[in-house]
Amino acid sequence: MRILFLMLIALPLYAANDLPKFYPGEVRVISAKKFMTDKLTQQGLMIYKEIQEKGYIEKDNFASRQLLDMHLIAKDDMKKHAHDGFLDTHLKESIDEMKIAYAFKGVPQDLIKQHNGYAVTGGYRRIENGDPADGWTGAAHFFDSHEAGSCCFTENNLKAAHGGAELFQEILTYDVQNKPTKLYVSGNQLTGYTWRVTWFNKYFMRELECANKKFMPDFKKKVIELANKIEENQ
Amino acid sequence: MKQKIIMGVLGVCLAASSYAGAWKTTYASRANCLNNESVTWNAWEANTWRTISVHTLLKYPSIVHEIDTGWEKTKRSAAVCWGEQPAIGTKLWRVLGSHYALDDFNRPVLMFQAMIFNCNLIEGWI
Repeated sequence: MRILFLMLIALPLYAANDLPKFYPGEVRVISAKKFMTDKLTQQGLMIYKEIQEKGYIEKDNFASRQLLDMHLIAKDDMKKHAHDGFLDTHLKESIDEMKIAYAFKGVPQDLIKQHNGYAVTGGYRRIENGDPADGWTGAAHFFDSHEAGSCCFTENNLKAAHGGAELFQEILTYDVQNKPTKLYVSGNQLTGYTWRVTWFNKYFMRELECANKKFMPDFKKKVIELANKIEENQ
Repeated sequence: MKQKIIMGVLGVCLAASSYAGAWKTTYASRANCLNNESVTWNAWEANTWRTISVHTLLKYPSIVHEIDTGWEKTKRSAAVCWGEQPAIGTKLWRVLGSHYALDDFNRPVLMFQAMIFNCNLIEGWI
């Protein structure tokens, strides 16, 4: 029995050698050329091409449904979970109700038509585990904007999360405050559409996603403008 | 008896998918909690994730279990070793959880990584 046990634990273990490794908060911009034989890369570049040509990826979009209904459900969720503590992941009225491991600012007040709550994202850091501070490594701010409808601004502190990202230069623009920026648009007539702008500033991965029931080519410009205004405030 | 427990535990190390992250995606690991595990979840929307949980026996660091869920489109990606810690309270294991997401253009992003020694109770561990 003991010999069998020792044999089992000596078996070679699968190692995730195909995944990129990062030092905490590292963001790299590289070329896709070295990865062209990789199926995921090929599919990713096709997605980018379709967005460039058609304007969006046609598929069911649950984020759109969530955002378009936020103004109806947000208040109840905030009220129901107002006293559930800082580990709770439901909507919160105020940033003070969340324990974030860094100074999360959210969206400036002048850009907000209706505030729909904050929510935590990422993982929870603890001093007892050797982390510099207790708190979540990211947060999101749901709001109705004046120009771009119902939106969600999400921020992940990749340094606090010990995370990292590797971006293909072929799909990047620098539309948000000259930072590496990606744009993804998807949806259909049934669910509605979202425009998701993601940009990287030093250690932060920031994302603004706005929803609209119909696809409108001009909506992209409004979302990027709003992202620029939010980034100015960070 | 102890050997039988250990054998049983080793036999059921697997990557399982079953739910927190009430509005946005959250990531967590826990160690020495009957199970050792790392979990990625979002109650609203399935996304493509890969969760890797590496469990090291503190007294014998050469004993390492790695559970890798592989890429899966799901609301809850869980790399779990059921019953690996026979009793709550004794700290036998260290858990390193790595949580990767596939971004909109199929690039892996490391969203969160943590080394855990404790049984961290958090919303949605069921």
